[in-house]
Amino acid sequence: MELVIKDYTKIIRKVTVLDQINLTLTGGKIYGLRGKNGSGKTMLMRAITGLIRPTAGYVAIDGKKIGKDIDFPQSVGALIENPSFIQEYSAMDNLKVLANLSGGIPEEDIRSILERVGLNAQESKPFGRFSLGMKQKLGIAAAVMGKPQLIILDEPINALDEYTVERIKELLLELRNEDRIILVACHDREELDYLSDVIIHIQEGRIVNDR
Amino acid sequence: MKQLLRNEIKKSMRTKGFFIALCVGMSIGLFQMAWFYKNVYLPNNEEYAQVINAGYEDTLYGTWFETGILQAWMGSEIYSPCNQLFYLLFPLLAALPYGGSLYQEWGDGYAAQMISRCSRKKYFLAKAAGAFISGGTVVFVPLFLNFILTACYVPVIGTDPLSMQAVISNKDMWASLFFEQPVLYAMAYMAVDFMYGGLFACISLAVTHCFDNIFSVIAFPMLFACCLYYGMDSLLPSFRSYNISDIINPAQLTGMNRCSAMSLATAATVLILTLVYCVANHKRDMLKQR
Repeated sequence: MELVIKDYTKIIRKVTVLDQINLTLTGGKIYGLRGKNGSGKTMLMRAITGLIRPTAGYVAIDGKKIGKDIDFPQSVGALIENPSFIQEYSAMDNLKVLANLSGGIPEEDIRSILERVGLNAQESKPFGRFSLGMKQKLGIAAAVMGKPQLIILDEPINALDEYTVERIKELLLELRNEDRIILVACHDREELDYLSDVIIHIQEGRIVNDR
Repeated sequence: MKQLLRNEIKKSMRTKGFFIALCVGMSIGLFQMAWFYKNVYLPNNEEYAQVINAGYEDTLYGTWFETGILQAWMGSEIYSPCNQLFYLLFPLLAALPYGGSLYQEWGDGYAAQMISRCSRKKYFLAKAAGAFISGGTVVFVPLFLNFILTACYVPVIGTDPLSMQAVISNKDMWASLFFEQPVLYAMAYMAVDFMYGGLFACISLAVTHCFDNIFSVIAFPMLFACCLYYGMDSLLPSFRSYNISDIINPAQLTGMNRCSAMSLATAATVLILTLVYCVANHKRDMLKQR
């Protein structure tokens, strides 16, 4: 899989939030997005998932332009900002709903991913009564469930305990080795450096350097 | 798509708004029934007993008419304020279950989850279906329940046109059904109300992007219906037969309901609604979460 962002510019109410972004992301790598609050990290993630439309430029996945050839990336899992699910449903039921939309992921796989992020698949507690950390875990589980080709995680380790952070890191490295494109935004410099193969630095909507 | 539709419909019927709207609608229906029984049906029966006992000596003998179901059903009963209250609140009740759901999901990021797993088109279509069905259900159930309960004590007979007790005249829309097949008349209007309940809920969805709070989104259909009602009443009286507030009321209060006007108004509402909904959401950016 290859994701190309070409001259992507987004202007909202006369403010340029993404300015001439050019990037090529390929499978088997973790890309770390670094930047201050409001620098455009989340906006770039929204652009890649087709949640916002460009003012100029495009995002293409394997040559297919989002918004033109395809409505959204065909195999994507994303956790952008706060995880949100059906309040009355349990973790398992929520993932089942999403799994059905993604073409049917076996129940066993859903169970397994819930266990891996540290949630109990049997628990009937509704999402509305989850703690912040549990919500975050479910958000990550939803994003990586079914092992999509493109995984986008915005601040995935927020509100997680150290033990879970280690498990998530392990999971991401495993997925990277399975040739997935993983894009992670994180304020924790140390964690981001540890996880990422490529760091993309974004500032005022522009990519200032990537290594 | 089937799964998505099923999810949205299921979700729409499990909201707090759904239960609140249903409770309010049914409370009005039950109150109306009790009110009618006490204030109209019982006195009428007493009068009937007197007339019958007096036989030919009573001047009313032969001019007394038995109360029919459509005189007692909330949809077409106008002695109590319940009909007016129910149809005034109709757009609000319809929008309450799921009219604000797009606003909520767009803001909390759930819509992003869905859009990145199915297409925008499918998501918006499923959302509209959920809103339509829940909006229709919350206005249909009180009317239906009231009809059934009323039929338990009022005979299901047509109103005699000579009785002068009918709310509609024989020139009004579906008059023959009203006088001869009251159940069909009620069912036809319940179907119309179900449809308009659904449409009012979809109006809320369509205007979601215009407002910054969920109350305005949910209240908009009621405000719209009121403006339309009073606007047409005072500014365009010749177009009153196109007034949605009149179209949905089986009591046909203005006496201007016409089948052709109803069809035209419905087609125009569906068309405008679809256009606004599609145009507003086709390229709508999903920005900051609330």
